[in-house]
Amino acid sequence: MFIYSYLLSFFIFLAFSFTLCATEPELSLGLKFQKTHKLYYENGISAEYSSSAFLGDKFHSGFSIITSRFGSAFNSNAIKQDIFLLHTSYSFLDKAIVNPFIKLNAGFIIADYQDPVFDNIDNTMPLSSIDFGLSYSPTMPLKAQASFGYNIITSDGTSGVGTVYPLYFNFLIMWNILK
Amino acid sequence: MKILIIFLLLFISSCNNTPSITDQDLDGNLLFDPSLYEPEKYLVSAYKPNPSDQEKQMPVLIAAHGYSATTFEWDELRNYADSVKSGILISQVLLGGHGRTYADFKNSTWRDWQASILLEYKKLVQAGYTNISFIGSSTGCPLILNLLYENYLFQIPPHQIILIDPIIVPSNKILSLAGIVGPMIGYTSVDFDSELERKHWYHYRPQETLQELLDIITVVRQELESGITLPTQTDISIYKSTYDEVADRISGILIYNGIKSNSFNSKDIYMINSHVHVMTRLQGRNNVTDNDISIQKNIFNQIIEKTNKTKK
Repeated sequence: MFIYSYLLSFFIFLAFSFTLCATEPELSLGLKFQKTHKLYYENGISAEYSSSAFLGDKFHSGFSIITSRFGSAFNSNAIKQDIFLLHTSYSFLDKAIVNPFIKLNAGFIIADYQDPVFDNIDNTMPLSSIDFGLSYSPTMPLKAQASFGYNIITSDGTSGVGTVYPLYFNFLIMWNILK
Repeated sequence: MKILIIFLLLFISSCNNTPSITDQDLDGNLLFDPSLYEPEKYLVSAYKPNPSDQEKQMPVLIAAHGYSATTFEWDELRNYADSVKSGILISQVLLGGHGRTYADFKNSTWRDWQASILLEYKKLVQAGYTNISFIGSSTGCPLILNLLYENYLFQIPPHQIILIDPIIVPSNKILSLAGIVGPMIGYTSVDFDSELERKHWYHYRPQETLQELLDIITVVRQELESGITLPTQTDISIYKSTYDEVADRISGILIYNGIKSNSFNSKDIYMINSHVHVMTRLQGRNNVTDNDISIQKNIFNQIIEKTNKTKK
């Protein structure tokens, strides 16, 4: 449960920090689509916040919740797993339409194995990953991101959740609700 | 730019990588799997090609070994079954591309690996055997599951399917990058516990075969996601070591959840507290414990009991 309280305090922090900002902040909400190389589709939501008063315009901080329930496990026997991530990204250019970025993610995964016979198998593990990608913002409130990422922690067959693979690809489409 | 050139040179040079194989390696031109010389000692179709009416009813167990292994992987089961007079005929199939040379292995696909299992099944059906079961270890398991999914086993539906440490998800997740990293490295090698292992397993793993391995486990994972339906006459049993450094234990979960059974079938899974990959083969390993021996014996007894159960 600690992570929920973590997320809550993060929201409060976000709300608090952008009320203090003098310059135009950005709060983008959107959809995230993820394909893990040789494994699942996992889809969900993402939010990102940025302001000159909070780390600066080039940094975006936020969270994502994605799940295989809205991906490979929809109507199938794939593992039902949910991923919760906090992330911070750094964009290399100032207000460019196409902007390369690097993103650090940290969070955890919870898997549902469906049967009590698997109760002794770890169904959660921490996640830590890095993304490299391009952000594309043709008209101001709209932003699309494509990136590939690498999970630094993967399971090794003896602990953790077996369905954490190293390489994945992300696509995000977001809307700045403060614009 | 310099780094790019160095990387490219490394890439090009590594593409030509061939390992230095010696005659002590199974990969060389001297050692071959014994089933190639004496098939009648390993395959029921060669040993009893013309069974009597009574022999046709005997339980036959087709045993498929894992990736880069040979028929040796099932020697201990055959010896045990013989020693307790189990009444089971065991066909130790040598997967295609295995037990020969490095080049044979390198040029083989998972369809070639699987073809030997299907061929033995067809020969047994042709000869009139009516009580056929399957046992697989590691990669042998997805090969059998794919035969089931693609309905190749319709003539005589299997009596029992027994899976020992099946692999659907590898423990080493770098395998998922075989298509990207593989061409750069050319091959990987393994360290053996003993000379016995060196005689019966390939020392070197061509990247082409690692890609084939990734392909078969991906294909079968997707088949399990859609659901593999068991024939009404077939029971399935999964034995999965929970601290297995080769086949991730989640493989057992994916198979259990992906097999559709009905009131006629039994579907059992045994998650076993062991660090051994393929718990049924202990010969040639270092540091075998009493617990390992006891697990092996228990599994052997269950295999015999299940295979000898009255066929539905």
